[in-house]
Amino acid sequence: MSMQGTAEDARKAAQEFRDVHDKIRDQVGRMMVGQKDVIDGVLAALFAGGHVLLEGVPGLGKTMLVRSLGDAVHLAFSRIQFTPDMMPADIRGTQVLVETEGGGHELRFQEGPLVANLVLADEINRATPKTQSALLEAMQERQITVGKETRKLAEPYCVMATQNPVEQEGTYPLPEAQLDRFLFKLVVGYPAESEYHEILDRTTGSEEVHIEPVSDAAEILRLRDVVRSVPVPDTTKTHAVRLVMGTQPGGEWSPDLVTESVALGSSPRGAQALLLAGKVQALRAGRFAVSCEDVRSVANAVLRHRVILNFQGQSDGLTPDDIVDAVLAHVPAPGDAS
Amino acid sequence: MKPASDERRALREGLAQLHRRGHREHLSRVTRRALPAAIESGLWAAAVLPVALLALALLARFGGPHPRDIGLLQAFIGMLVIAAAVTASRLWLVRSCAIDRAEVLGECDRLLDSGGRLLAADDFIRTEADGPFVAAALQEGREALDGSRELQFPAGGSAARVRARAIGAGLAALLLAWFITHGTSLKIDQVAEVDTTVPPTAETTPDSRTPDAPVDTATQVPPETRPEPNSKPPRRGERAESAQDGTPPSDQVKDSKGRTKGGRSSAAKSSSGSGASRGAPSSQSQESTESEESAKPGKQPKPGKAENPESERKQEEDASGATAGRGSGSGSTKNPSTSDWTSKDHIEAQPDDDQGEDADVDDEESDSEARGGVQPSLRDRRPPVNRDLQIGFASGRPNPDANGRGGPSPQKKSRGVASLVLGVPIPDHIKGRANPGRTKVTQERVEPEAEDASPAVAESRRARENPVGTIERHELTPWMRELVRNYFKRAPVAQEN
Repeated sequence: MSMQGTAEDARKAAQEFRDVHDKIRDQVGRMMVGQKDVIDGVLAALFAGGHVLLEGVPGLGKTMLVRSLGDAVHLAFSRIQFTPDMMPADIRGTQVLVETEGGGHELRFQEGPLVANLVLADEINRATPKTQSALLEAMQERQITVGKETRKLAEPYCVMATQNPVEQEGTYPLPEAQLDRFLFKLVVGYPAESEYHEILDRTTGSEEVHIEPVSDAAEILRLRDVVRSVPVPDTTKTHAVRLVMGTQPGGEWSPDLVTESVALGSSPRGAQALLLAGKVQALRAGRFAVSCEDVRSVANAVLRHRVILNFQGQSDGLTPDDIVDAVLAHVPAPGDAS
Repeated sequence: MKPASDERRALREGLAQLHRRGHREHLSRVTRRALPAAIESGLWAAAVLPVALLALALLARFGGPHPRDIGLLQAFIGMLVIAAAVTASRLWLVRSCAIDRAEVLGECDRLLDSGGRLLAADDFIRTEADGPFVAAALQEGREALDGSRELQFPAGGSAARVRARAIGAGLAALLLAWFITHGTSLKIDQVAEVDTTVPPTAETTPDSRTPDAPVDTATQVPPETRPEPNSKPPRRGERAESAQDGTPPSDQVKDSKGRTKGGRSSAAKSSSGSGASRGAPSSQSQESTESEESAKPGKQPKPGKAENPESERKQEEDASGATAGRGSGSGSTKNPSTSDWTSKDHIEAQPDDDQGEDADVDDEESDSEARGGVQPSLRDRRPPVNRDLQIGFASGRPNPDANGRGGPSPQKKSRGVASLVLGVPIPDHIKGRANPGRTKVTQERVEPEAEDASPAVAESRRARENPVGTIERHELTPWMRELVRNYFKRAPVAQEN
C-alpha cells in the first residue's frame, strides 16, 4: 500500500482484505467444524507473515486445518511428519549426484519438504533438537543453506507446526529460541456438542467436501502489504510495550504473580508480534488504526509461548495463560481504569 | 496526501473540547469518590484539638492557661476549621493528580464503543502522521467525535459513605471539647491524677498500712519515710530487725508489695535476703513463709517443715552432700551443680526421701516460685543412668546397667559424643587381627606342552558336487563405468607426478 494514497484507497484495500479473508475462512470452514478462533488465528498469522504453533490432543483436526488452508489459498503445501530419527537433510534437502544429458555428472540440490509455501510440521516436538534447529533459519530468514549454497524460500512462507501436549515421552520440547519465532501459539480445544453432530455428518457420510482455491500467493503477498500499512498510534504502541514488559519478572509493569512465578518473559519480538497481529485484528474489525483492544485480544495467543514459568509457578499449577491474564488485569488500557 | 488543514484543525479543536469535558467530568467523579475519605480524615484530624486541650489542662497544673478560658465556641470553631482544612487539602491533592489525555479520550472511546477511534485520531493529529490509512482513521475519528456530542458521562456516585467510626470520633471529640471547656463538676486535674495513679490493689495487706490512713494516700510515699540523701541505707540485718520489731518496712519492700499479687514478691525479697548470708539465718525467711501461708488459706502448713526449718535445711544438705548456700546465689540449699552425681549413697537414700514426698512437692514449688520464677524441680535430681560401655564385669557377666550411651567413668568411649572429646584415652576395642578377607592369590608354574595336530591334506578335498548356481554380477551403469575408467586413467598420472 503506497503512502501516497488517499483515504478512499485505504478503504478499498481494507475492504479487499476483509473479502479475501472471509472467503478463505468460509472455505476452510467447510472442512473444519467450529474452532473459529483457531481458524482466525491461522489466517492472521498467514496475513501477518508469521508462523503458528498449534497445540492440541490428537484427533482435533489440526492437520486437516492446515491442509484445508493450503487448498484454499492455492499454495505449495508440504507436510513433514517429524520423527526422532529425522535428520536436517531430510527436511531441508541435500545434494545428489545426477547424470547430465551429455553423459556427465553433477551434484544437484534435491529440495526437501521444507521448500514450499505452506509447511505443516506435524508433531514437531518429536524431532531431535538438531532437526528442529534446521527450521530456525527457514522460519526467521526465509532461506535454507545446504553446503555453501543458500536458497531463498518462496514467499509467502508459513510454517504451521503441531504438537501434542499429552504424550511427552520421547519428545524434545522446543527451545525458547524456536518458540519465540512463532507468531502465535494456538490451543486447539475440544468441539462443542453441536459441532460433534456436524463433524460426524461430514466425515461419516458419502459426500466429499472439496475446497476450492479462492486466493493465491500473489494476493496473499499484496494483502500482507496492506496489513503492514495499518498505522499504530503511540498509545497503542505504549500499551503493547507495557504488556510485554509486564511478562518480564521484576519489570516496571509486571504484577507480583509474574515476579514470583515467571523465569523468562517475552522478548521485544513479542511486542512486534502483538502489533502485527493487532493490525490484522483492526482490519478485520473494519478500522484503520490499531487500538489497544486489538492488541489485548491477541495477547494470549502471542505471549503464552513466550512466558516460561519457574519452579514455583509450575508447582502452583499455573499456566502461561494465567500469567498473561494477570498481566492484562495489571496493565489496563487507557480509559479502563477510570 | 495530507487532509485539509482546516479539517485537521477542526478535529483537533473538537477533540480538545471533548477532552476538556471529559476531564471535568472525570475530576468531579474523582472528587465525589474521594469525598467520604476526605471527610473521614477531617473528622479524625478535628479530634486532635480536644486532645490538645486535654494536654493543656494537664499542663495547667504547672501554671499556664486553662482550657476553660478558651470556651466551647472557640474550640468548636477550631475543630471545624481543622476538619475543613484537612478535607479540602485531601480533595485538592486528589484533584491535582495529573489525568492523562489518553485516559480521558480512552474513556470516551469506551463509552461510545468506538473501538479506540478517538484515541487514534488524537494521536495522529498530535504526531502529524500521514498516509491513506491515517486519513481514513482521521475520518473515522471525526465521525466518532460527532457521535460524542450526545455522550453522557456516568454519574459515578460516591462509592463509599463516611464510616460510623469517623463520625463517632468526631462526636467524641466534640464531647471531649465540651467536657474540657465546660466540665466543672469534675476537675480536670483530678481526672488527670486518677489517670496517672495506679489503682489500689486488693492484695495489699491491711497490716502494712496505717489504719487511719486514707486509701488514695496508700501509694504516696510519706515524706518522713524517704531516706535522707546523706544517710546510709540500712543494712539487711537492720532491715530484718526492723521487720521483726513491727516497724514499717523500707520503701523497696513497700513498693514491691504495692505492685505484686499476694505479697509473693515481698516474700521473694525476704527469702533472697535470708539466703545471702548463711551465717546469719534471717528470721525474715520465717516471716516470708508465714506470709506465704497466710496468703494461701486453703493450704495446711506442713508441721515438721514449718516448725523446724533449720533441721530441714540440714537434712537436705546431708542428702545431697553439697555446699549449699555458700555464695550469694539463689539461697537454695539444693544446688544440683554441686552435687556429686556418681554418689551411690544418694541413690540408696532416694527411697527414704520418697516418704512424705507428696507433701514436699507443694513446698518445693512454692519455694521455687518464691525464688523468682519456675525452676526445674529439684526433686527430679537423680544420678544419671550408668552408661558404662564395657562389655561386662570382671567376672564376665554382662553389665545390666550398661546402655551404651557413654557414661561417667573417666575413660573415654570410642563411640558417641564422648569419643569426640580430646585428651581422654581411648581404649582399643579391636581384639586380635583385622579381617584378612576372602581374597587369596595362588601362583602356579606350568610348563608348556606340545599337542598333536593332524594337518589337512589338499588332495583329500574333492570338487563341488552340486552346481554353483547363478552368480550375480553387478552390472555397472555407463556413468559408473566412465567414472572407474577415468579413475584408472588418472591413477598412473598421479603416480608419475
